[in-house]
Amino acid sequence: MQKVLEANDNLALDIRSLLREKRVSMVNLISGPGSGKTTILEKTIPLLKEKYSIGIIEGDIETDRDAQRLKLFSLPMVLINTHGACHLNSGSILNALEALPLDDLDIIFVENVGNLVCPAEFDIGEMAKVAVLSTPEGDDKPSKYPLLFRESALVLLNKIDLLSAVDFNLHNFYDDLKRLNGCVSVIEMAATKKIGLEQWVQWLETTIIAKEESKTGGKC
Amino acid sequence: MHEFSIIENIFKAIEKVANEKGLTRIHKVKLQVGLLRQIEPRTLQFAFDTVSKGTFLENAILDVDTVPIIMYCNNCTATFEVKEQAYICPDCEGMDLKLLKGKEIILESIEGDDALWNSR
Repeated sequence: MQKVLEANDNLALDIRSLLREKRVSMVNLISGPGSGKTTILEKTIPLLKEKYSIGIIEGDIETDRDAQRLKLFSLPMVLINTHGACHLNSGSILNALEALPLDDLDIIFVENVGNLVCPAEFDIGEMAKVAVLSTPEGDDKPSKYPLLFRESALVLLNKIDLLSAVDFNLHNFYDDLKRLNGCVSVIEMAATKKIGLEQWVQWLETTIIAKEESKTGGKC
Repeated sequence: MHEFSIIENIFKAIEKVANEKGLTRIHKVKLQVGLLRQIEPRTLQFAFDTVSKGTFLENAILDVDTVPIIMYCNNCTATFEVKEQAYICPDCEGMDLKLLKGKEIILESIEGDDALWNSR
């Protein structure tokens, strides 16, 4: 049996044990372009940084625009430009980790390349995948991109303040999502209006930071 | 178009086996791909044709076997196939499940001028 993604998966296992040894938690934020990943980080960092030491790995196909936005926080950060590739892989993450002060960090946020398909395919050794979906994208996304929503431990349903203005049926969204992943947590959020941020920080503190077990999908 | 990312990895896996087994010209490649991978066979073939052009894999046939999604229920220990995206145990309606099959991408065999390599 020759497993095709074996090289990537083996490096991901190495990353998991490295992070466990260093007692650092790593969250893999995955979403389509424009759902608000960078904004969520901009609003989350101020709520966490007094208490925890944060590192960032910023994945972008081209440009350093997202990284520039997060630079204001003066946190340890590595930018990975994939130059066309639609996802980060464990090799690039391992290189990035070497440039971060792992001994001092509590949590690393990985902002994956904006894409609902490819990033879900490649394990990067994260403790949990967090899917971000914004209401303007439509309620059908869990069914259309099942792997990501099946494997995420948490879904941040962002731009919930726009619900009345867009075609998004909450009932259908929850129905489809729970069919795929009955144990997943959901936080309804409007990062720019500070809605849902407290719950998100609480989720990070109770299920991610300083926890040792990584999770695929939610926990029942 | 994640098929292109996947095909690059498939290409590397084939190259590795071909080097080890001394296969210089490949006619047929058999793959097993789990349904959870959301791989579209025609797009995969297109990616394969594109990447293999001018290499020892040019014109090789890509034969893809899809593997159904099989889950194990942590609650009642039943094993079942997931249909229509329902990740719910048909016996006890449990949702705390473990994936047994359906996410693999496995190189099953390679047929070349010189020999046949089979992973089983």
